[in-house]
Amino acid sequence: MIRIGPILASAAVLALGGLVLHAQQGPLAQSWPTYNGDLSGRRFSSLTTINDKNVASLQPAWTYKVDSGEPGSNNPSGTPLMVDGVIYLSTQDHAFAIDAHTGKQIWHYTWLSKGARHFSNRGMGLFGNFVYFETPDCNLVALNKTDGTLRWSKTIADIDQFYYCSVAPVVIGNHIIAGVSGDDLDIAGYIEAHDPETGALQWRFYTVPQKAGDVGANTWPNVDMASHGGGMTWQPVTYDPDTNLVYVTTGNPQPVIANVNRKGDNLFTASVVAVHADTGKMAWWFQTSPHDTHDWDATQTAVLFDGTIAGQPRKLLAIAARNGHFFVLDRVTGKAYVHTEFVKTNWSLGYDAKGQPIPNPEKFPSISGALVSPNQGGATNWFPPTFSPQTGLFYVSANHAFSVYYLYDDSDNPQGWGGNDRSGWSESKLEAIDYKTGKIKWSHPWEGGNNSGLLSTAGNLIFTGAPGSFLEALNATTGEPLWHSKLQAPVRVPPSTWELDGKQYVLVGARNTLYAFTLPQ
Amino acid sequence: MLRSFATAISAAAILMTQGLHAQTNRPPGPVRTSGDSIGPYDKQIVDDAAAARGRTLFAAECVDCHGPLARGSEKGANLIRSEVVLKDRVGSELGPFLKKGHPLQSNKNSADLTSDQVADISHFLKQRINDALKRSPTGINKVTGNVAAGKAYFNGDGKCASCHAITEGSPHTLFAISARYPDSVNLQQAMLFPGGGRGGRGFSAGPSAGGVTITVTAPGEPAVTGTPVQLDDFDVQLRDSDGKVYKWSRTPALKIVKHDPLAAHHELLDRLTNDNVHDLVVYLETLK
Repeated sequence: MIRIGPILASAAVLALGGLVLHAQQGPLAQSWPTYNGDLSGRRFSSLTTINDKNVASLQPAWTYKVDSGEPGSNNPSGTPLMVDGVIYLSTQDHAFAIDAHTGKQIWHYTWLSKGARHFSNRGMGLFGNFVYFETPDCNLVALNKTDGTLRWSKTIADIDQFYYCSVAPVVIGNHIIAGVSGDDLDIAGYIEAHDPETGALQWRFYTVPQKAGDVGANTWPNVDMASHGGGMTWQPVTYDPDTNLVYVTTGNPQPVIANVNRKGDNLFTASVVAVHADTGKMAWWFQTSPHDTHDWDATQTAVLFDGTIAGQPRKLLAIAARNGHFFVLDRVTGKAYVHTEFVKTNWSLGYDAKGQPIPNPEKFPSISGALVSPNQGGATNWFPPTFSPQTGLFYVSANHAFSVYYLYDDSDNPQGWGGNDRSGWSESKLEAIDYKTGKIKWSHPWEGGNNSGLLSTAGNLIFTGAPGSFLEALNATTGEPLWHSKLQAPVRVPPSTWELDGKQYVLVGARNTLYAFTLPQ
Repeated sequence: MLRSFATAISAAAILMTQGLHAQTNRPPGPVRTSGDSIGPYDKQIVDDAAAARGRTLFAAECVDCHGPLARGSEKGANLIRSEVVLKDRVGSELGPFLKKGHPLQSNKNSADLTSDQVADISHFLKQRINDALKRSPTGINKVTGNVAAGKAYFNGDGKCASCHAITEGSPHTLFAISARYPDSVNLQQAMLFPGGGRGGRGFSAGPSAGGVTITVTAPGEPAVTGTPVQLDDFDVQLRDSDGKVYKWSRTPALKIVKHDPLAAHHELLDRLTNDNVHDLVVYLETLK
């Protein structure tokens, strides 16, 4: 296997136009060059200018209102990139460059769409002189980052099959990793690697078996069900240059909810899958929800960090899954060191030998309805968690939630969506989890529902959206609330931070507006 | 009509090609009908009358192999997963495919099917695809359970009887509750989540705020009770029964006690089994 190590990758990147390697390693501070800041998924910044002692003085620096020209494409949800004083932001069919000093728009690019779900857009990737984003009609688009002109575009999925595309592309060495979305009709999930310069396809990895004999095919009744079995890839991947493995988190199996015609574990849906960056070949897998029947994808961030388990240094991967379970895995082998609930749930019967939850058939959707916790929205969802190596804590926006799952198609061959859940009740909280044990170090309850991405900093801070349309900062060690600021809508764009001209900024988005905060001079 | 629809599709396709990669100011093109639409803008709109004709034709020529819902059988492919069907626009792909020759139940030559017949089959198949895309109830849901077990749980472990009466005119009575919720599923939802709430993909259901009051006690001051106007990590406001609004900054010394009249319902959620739920529902249906 050809492996591009950090040095080689660095040389290649520099030769292609100047993006520094801090996208892949090193402390995150002067820029925010990928969806998660770096490729580890930690969303931890080493900046300390804004800290637990002075955060109460934080004040607005500027705002930027998105005006795409289309009402349905003005509300971003992906974390913007910031490199060399320029912010790169995307919405459905649109990309923008914004001056990070002032919030003034530099350019705006519009993609003419052929349709598909315009559900969301999660952000952009950056490599050298190019920025990349996916369009709802499933084109991977490369733009010149200086002026927003089109460099190239490549179609990555077929919208006639009801795919749509939303995920932030992630640049790893000389690969752009692109994912796909869509579970309206039964189709196969996959990720692709493309050449950053030309857009040429380098490899494709299917998240469900495509033919008899493929690994995992024996966890489906037949090849037709397996090859249409879902497992969408709409969460940005994470990457470890030491293992050269890309960590992909996959979506729910299809048909969704209904399960009578897909008996088995339904690999590799609702899983963490490690694939080699240069070949797309699978190294290992871990399924967070075997045989899911509740739309609980595993498309939450697989967070990478080094730590100590039972006195031994380990390369770790942690994920708080939508189904309410928290896992700490060895990211070299996939072995589970920790498996536990991070909120109380009612759908599983313990763990199997691999550490994966065993689903309770009583909680499968039914004609009369099954009372299930969490609900379909999940104990958490797409909004990213954060890990602070300073505190050793994994932070996640959590919901203790209930709903009732009904089967709407009781035939022996359901397709697409064979059921759904209905309403419910939940309580939201911010949790800090000790990765070594999975125990909750502290839990901060919210007065109202809350679904926000998170940011941790070396200033002993956690930034999060809070109920009532606030951006809030808490003490990372204790959970004590320290500061908040009222926005015009709930936080949708997760907070990020970077330093520019000696000033640390915190950036967040709500509805159609980006808000930048900094300390007074 | 068929011709004019196809012409519209062609015009749309031309407009899309001309406008592709627009830098700014999107040029004229297909109109987006919804921010959350499914599938391509030029997708085939099902003509129900044509689909009905297609159903008849499908039953006569195709159903033995492809099944009544076109989802396939051991003898024939699943057509709603067929790329030929998914890419078809009123026969654009299906027509050429059938022209090549495909077995029909009548043993007729599939190449002899008229373009109108192919279009009718196309509409029928698109209708079947749309059925699979739907996530809404299909009318098959009904709660079944054991009335006696429900009554026992109501008066026993569920502790429902400690708050709810079942006689007409009593406070918090559940007498004739099924008249308000004649559908057993709706009754079940109301029983479990009386505060309402929003579920579904990507949403937290949210706490129920209805009827919640708080009592705030500041150091050295009398307690004040009322409806919360604002309650976050830094500020508290409530409106008392006289309409007067009180404000405090939250400090460790400020005591806040929440009173949620639905707390017993929420506490019960962690203990209820499916059987408990269903038995309670069918018992409540008997309270007439």
